[in-house]
Amino acid sequence: MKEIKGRKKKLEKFARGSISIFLCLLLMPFSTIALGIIELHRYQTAMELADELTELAALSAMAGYDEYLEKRFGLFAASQSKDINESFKEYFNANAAASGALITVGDGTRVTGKYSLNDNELLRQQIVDFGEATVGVDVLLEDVNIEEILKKLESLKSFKNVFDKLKKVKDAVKGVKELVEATETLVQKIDKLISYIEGLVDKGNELVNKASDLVEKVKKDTRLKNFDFEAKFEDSYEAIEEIVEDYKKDVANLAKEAKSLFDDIKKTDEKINDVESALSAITKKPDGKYEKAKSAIAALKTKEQAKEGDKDIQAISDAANDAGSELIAQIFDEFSDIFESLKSDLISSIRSNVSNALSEIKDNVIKELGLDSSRIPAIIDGDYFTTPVSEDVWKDMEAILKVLVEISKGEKTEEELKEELKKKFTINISYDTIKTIKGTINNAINKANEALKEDILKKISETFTSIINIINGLFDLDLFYDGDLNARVNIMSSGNASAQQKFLTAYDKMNTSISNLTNPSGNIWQKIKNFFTSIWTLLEAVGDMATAVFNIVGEKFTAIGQKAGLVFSGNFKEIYEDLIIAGYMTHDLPNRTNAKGQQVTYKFEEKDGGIVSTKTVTYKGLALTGYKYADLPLCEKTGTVIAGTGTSNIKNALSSGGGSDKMFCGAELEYIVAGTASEIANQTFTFMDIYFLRLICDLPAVFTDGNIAAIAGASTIAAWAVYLLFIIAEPLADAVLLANGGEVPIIRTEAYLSGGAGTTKFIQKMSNVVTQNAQIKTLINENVGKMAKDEKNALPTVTEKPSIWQNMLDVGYDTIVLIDLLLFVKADDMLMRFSKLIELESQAKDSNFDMNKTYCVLEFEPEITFNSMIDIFNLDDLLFNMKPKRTFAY
Amino acid sequence: MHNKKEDGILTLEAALLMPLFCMLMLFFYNFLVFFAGSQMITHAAFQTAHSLSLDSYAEQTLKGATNEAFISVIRSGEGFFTDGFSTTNNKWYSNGSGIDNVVKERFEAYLFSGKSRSDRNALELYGVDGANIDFSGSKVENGVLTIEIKYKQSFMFNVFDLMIFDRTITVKAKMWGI
Repeated sequence: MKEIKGRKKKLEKFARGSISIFLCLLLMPFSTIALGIIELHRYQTAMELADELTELAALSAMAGYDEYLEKRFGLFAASQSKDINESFKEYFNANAAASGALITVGDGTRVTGKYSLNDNELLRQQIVDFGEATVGVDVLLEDVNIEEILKKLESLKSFKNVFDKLKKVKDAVKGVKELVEATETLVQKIDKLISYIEGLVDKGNELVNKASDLVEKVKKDTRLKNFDFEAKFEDSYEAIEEIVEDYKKDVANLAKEAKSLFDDIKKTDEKINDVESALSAITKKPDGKYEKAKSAIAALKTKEQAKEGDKDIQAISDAANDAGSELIAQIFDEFSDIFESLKSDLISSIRSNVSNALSEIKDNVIKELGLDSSRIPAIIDGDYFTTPVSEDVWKDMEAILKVLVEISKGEKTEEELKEELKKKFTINISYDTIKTIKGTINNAINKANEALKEDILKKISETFTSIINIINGLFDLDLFYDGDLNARVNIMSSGNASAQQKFLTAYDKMNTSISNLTNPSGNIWQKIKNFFTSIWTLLEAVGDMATAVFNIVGEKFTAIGQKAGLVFSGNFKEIYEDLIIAGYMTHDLPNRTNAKGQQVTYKFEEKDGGIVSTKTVTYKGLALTGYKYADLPLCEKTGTVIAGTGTSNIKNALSSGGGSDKMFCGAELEYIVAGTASEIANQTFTFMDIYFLRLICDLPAVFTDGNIAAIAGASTIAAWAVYLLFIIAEPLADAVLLANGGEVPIIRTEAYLSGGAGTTKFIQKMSNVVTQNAQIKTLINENVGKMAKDEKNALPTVTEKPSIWQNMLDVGYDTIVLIDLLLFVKADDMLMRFSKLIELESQAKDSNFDMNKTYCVLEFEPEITFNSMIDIFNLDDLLFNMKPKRTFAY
Repeated sequence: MHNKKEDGILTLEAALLMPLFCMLMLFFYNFLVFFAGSQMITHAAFQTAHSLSLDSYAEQTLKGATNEAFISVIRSGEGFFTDGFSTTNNKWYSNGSGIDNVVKERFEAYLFSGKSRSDRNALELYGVDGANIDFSGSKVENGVLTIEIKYKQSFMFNVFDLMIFDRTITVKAKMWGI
């Protein structure tokens, strides 16, 4: 029992504090585990927190983006003037404190910029992102109705055939040119032949005179009675020998000229055949399509048909195309008549008369000189000088002296003696024949000249001059180049105006040839020569013009077709971004019509003709971002303002590099279109680009306008040139209106420059937009009034427009440039030029700005340390140090 | 001899130590819950700052926006930035007043993940007094948004209200566009 008690006591002693021990033992692992769980939870939280804090700090650091880029262009890139690294650490640590400083970021944190706005793809994406919200694609599609505009432009493609036809003209031009050259050579040869014959007559007369003198001497010399020629008359003999020799040489030359003339006649004949076949290729007889076209156009007057819409546009463009083709066919048909007349009246008469003349020379003149007629072909073939001369001379001399002796025996006066000699030599007969030939040629040329004068000179002189005057008056740099918006860029880029320059060169050539054609000078021969030269130059110019227009317009038609195809097939995806980019450029960048205003004034020095003057320019308008154009960083301006009328100025403008200044000044959009360093080149290029777009859009107006048809009708064979001139002139009127802030219908059906109701509208529109309105009004009124009209050959004017051409609001400069950009400027080119604009403007704000550092992607690599609850032996730095990488993009 | 004084010593020891032990265990648990609640609030604060910092830019963008479809998406808040409550067309950041309400609204939206904002009982699970969260210290200065959230958080086993803590979370973010 005692033992039991003792054990119990022992047990009690042993159990005393056992619970404490037990709990202590239990608490140790429990606590450790619990603390571990807590620490693990903290660590996990820290990991998530690191991500979250990195993102928030990155967002805050990235909020320090380049303010100018954002405000001006709506683009985002890291600021180059702020320390993003420090900003990131500051926000990271500040926010880490909110989580109980679980983590902290250390000095090893790095922020690296990647991919700048120089990258076209990034720039495109940012513009598209911004543009989706602001450009309003739905507005473009519905209000501006790009789809409808494209549809209308696409419907004009059948007009392309007119240009195809014009292009074929050039093939015929080559033949015509060669024919004209051959004819000109022929006329020169005839002239030369006549001068030879005249010389021959003179020589003959000299021969007669000398022979007469000799006879007189013989008659007075008593030694003649002895007929001792060799001893007594050696001096006379030598004289006669000399004269005969000269005369024979002249005859031989004449024969050579005649042969050359024959060759030329043969060549001309071949040319005529060539031209005939070339012309026949494009001068099929009209088969009534022209009349059908007139009927088709007339039929469009009825409202019922006009309502049919799409069918109408096809009908009218087909009709106009047929009319154009037939018109050209008719023109060349009439033109070939002229050549037919030329062939029958001139060439044939030359051919037959010269042939007769040579025959007479051969049969009479040379024979009478005592030459062996059997030798004539050899002489003509150029073998004269292979025959020994001395024998012939002796023989001829003897023949002449024989005649002289015979004459000396008779009792005749000196005059009778001369007449006798002349008859013997029959010089005058041949000379008269040649004169007849020249007279025939002159008559033929006079006849052709009169015919041409009747058909062309009289009828088209005033009309051509009037249209050309209008075109030249509108090709005025002052009307579409604003010197105040002078170039301020020092980077030359890739604007290509060669096609436009070719067009202007061809136009100048045509202009000059028309001027020569309508203002012939000199005598009748020079006039004829000038006429032919002018015709050739005109045809060649027309060919060049047609080629230039065809190339430019053809490219534009192709581009329209491609874009329209995408739209019509519902494949908006491909065109969507291009539309946004073009819309963004149009609405965010100032252009010549919206930059200037009344809000802000600044002054700069302008050098014009060496005179330095102070000029005040004000700017207004808002960018798509809401940025005021007035706040644009403007640099001091130097440079020369170029202005003036004439295509040479425009060509110079298109090619001028220039642009020594550092900024644009209100015409950035034109830079996007053209991409050159020269502001004048940019404005001119844009003007010309709009011009060619309008050239397509105005084709219905030209081909359906009754007044133009009446003017063309009055110009008969030059009707084609009238149409061509109106094709050139009408879009010019539009381009001038648009470039000065005016508006025109997207597709015009009413000519502005033909003297109809459209002219009044044009003058009214022009008076609202340009300061030179009085000058233009005079230009239009005076010249339109001088144009001859032939109402009976006129197409009916379409007064009721087909419905597809109706319901379209007039478009202004913005919209037309938008269409131009969308259709004809590659998005990559726009972006490349835009990035240069960004650089220029930003550098004007901050000279240290570097486009290559406009980082849109930032890689954050924070050095994060996890702060454990109990940091033993500084293990936090060793075990819980991490460098996660996170990449964020604007 | 049996010492009666030692009777029940084990029980006594157990009675004394077990509550302490349990309290310690509960403390660990409470700490975890407390920490989780705190992180939930912090997380929501971060998201709020993230979201609000973009408000100014969104408003700026909308000002120039012409695309109605785009605007309606933004205005409706249908998942553009977050699930609802994404932005407002009021320039709350410009006049200095009413910022606390905007912060509160956005904070609750994030905290409850778009669920009913009246369901504040969820906060109780974490010991947060959801009804009395104070955002009055929030402000926008020099383009920097400072969100200050003051709230009370207690341990689950809050004996005699001894385990109530005043918590303050301060989050900073740079406002975009200002």
